[in-house]
Amino acid sequence: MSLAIAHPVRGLSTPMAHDFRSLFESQCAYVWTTLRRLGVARADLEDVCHEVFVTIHRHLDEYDPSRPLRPWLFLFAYRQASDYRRRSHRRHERLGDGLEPADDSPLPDELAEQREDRSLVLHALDALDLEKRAVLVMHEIDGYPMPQVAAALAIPLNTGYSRLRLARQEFARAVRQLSGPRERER
Amino acid sequence: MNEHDHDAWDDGVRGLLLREARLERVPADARRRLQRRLGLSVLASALTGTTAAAGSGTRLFGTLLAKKTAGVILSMAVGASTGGAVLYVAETNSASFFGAKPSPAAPEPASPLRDRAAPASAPSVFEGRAMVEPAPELPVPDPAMPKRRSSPAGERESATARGPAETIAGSPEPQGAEHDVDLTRERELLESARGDLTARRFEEALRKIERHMREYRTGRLAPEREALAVQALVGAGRYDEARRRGADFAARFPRSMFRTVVDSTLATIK
Repeated sequence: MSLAIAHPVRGLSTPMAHDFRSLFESQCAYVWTTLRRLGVARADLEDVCHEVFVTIHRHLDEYDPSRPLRPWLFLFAYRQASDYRRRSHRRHERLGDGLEPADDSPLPDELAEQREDRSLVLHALDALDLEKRAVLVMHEIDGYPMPQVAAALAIPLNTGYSRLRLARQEFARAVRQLSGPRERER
Repeated sequence: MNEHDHDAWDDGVRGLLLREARLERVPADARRRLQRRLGLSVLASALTGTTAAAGSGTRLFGTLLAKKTAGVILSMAVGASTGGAVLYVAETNSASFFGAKPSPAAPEPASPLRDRAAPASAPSVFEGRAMVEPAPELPVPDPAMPKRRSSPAGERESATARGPAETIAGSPEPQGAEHDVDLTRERELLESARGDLTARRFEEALRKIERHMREYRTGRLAPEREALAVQALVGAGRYDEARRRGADFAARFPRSMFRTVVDSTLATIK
């Protein structure tokens, strides 16, 4: 029995375990926020984020350390978001239903506008299909150049640019439509 | 994109997205729950001896243990199974996997598998940050991951055991907003150097790397800087300097996740 106990403990002491802990610490917020931007409903974020990190752990030794980390992580989030959306017809909530709920703790007044902007962005993103959404998020929000976006998503560069162009059009149109009522309320 | 769309994009939408880019956060309580669930999931894979087992089975394991009812279910399993002790150890260590070491002063849990919140009296670095920093996170470095390396069995390495210049991530922990601002600037500088490296502008990359060294000699991204320096020196054909810097890297950051990059870069020298 002592051996049986010792093994799992040793399992936690490997460099990989520490790397995973470090990765979770530093990238949890990024994965969480990315999933939200990719259309995972707030109520489901925790479960989907957990699935993403479990999958990352399974593939940890496949990471090429000479490459930036976040595009690699984005791909896991993208795949989980894709699976999630396929199951979404069974879901009780969709991002487009209602306004972005308040955060867990009340935000100060000066952050109210920030929250409103975020709600607008998330709702406008909801107007895009996942493929265009992913390109827009990676390029316009995460700031990765298009060749890197295309490589991360395993799509031809021209396809990436095409999706970006359409995504910008649709996103801008959605922002105009959504911000119209908001401006009138002010 | 027609002109109207273009105007709308330029005038308002880009600013909206830039503001969104600064909002990167996870609620502190969700982070803690995730941390606990992941600790258990990863432990489950350790119990089975394979990371490939961290799929649906461990997902279920982690999810179950995150529920209030899981304590009862798994307590029964513990009582009925000869592997009970293993599960107990697994749960106990899942907390420490993510840094939440139980405090001696903390009350003894009624069930070894019950939902365990870290006692406030013994916050770990991880838990402490999660609890006191619910605010949006500033950009963090992109730490590269190492290939799996063997390590002495049973050796549990702590952050302090690595010495002051290196923690688990291969770099010191941040200590506040000022450090986060510095981290952002550090990262920008190194990203720029990385761009030069990719474009084979090795001397320009080295110039930026040296600037980083002057401004952030012991910065959080020092290991990444040194790894980039070795790559740039090799690219520039300055092999002796690259070897010296590589040796210095190995001495300063023996367990860094960039060690693989440095070693493989030096191995390309003919």
